[in-house]
Amino acid sequence: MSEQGRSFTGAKGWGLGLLLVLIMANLSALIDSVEHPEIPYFNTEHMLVGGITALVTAFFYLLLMKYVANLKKKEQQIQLLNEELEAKIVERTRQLRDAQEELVRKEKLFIIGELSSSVGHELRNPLGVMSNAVFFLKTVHAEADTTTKEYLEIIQQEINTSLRIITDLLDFAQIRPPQQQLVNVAELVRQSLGRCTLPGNVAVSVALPAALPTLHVDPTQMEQVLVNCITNAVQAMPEGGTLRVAAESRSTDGANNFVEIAITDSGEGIAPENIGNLFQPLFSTRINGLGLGLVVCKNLVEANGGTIKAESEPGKGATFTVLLPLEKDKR
Amino acid sequence: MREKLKILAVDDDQPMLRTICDILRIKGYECLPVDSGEKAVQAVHLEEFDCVLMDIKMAGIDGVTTLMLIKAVTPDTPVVLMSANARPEQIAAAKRYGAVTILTKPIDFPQVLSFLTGLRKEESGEE
Repeated sequence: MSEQGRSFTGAKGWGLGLLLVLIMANLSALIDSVEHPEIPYFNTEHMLVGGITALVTAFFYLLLMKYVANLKKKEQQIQLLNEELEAKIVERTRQLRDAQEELVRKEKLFIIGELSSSVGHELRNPLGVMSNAVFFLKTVHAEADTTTKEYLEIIQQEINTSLRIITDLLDFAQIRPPQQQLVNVAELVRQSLGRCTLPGNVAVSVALPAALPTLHVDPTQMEQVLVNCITNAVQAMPEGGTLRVAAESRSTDGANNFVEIAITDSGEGIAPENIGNLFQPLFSTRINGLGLGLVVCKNLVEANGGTIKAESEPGKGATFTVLLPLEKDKR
Repeated sequence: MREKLKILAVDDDQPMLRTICDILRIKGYECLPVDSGEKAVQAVHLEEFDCVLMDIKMAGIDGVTTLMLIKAVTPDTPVVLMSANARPEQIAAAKRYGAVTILTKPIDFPQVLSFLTGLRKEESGEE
């Protein structure tokens, strides 16, 4: 219909219409002349009949053209409405799908949280017994041979790794409200570094300006965040490299109201497609990672009024930057 | 002054109880293991202890309630609580009833021993 409609409109349509009018105007005169050769072709009757026929034909042709034009306009409107409707359906379907995915994700996380809390709690006890047993053996057999000592150390390291996973699970399941207090940045960085195992092949560089303002955060929670970021950085450099921890004042609205702590490694870096997922629950680039450590970090930092972000260039290491709020009257 | 500090260890987990007492003994402390809050309260009625090291989550009366009952009998005895994952309300109650601290399991033994060394010094200083 639309193709036909289009063929009857425009210059072509008008030309065809004019041709039709001329043909109709002359057709009856021609027939009459053939049937009655004695009557001249151009006479008053022929002219009158031809003229009336042409006018009637032109009138109906114009009506037809108007009808076709209307049809085309309506068709365009319907097409437009259809496109809008289709876009709305696509948008609503996307919203529904997102809402459903979010619901499933929340339900999944709730179950994980419940399970984590229970399993984590129950596992800490046997790990505690193992840890005590290792401590006892190390004390009693202080003069043991090197291999025995190494094996005891291996057991202790594995216990510590398991505890770290359990702590992530428990922290993920329940984040306690932050108990904010005044915290010295240098002290926070020093204590966090002190809690991490730093291999000999990792050079540590700390850049802290002499006069950094005091933070207003929960020191235990922020130490946990920094320890997590530093541990990740170290694990990103299995062949060794440089770990840099730097801090400086930052302003977000003209005033220096935040301190930025950046932890940078010189490892392989993070693939661009993974950067956006780093703070998503259950996403991990490590084989033995649960994918909760950075989620816990994000939750803890945000609970303290800060933000955390990751930047990386493949092959050039990664930087995790934590922005933390200052003591209120120093903002 | 007693030759050795006497510690009351309370935990319903037998391997945990045994390892805690074994470590304390080899470090020169006397340790009495009991596996419930009820037995701990009975023990402080019968004997004097220099310190109580006690789990929070136990069958029967829990560590926080036991702490309250122990403090009613012997208010000056330091009580150190241990927990795999203490709830905020338990931490608040433990502080209210006078616990020295709440250690997260696995307990950091050097920290415990350092605390006990401090106690030992206090004891000898008093003498």
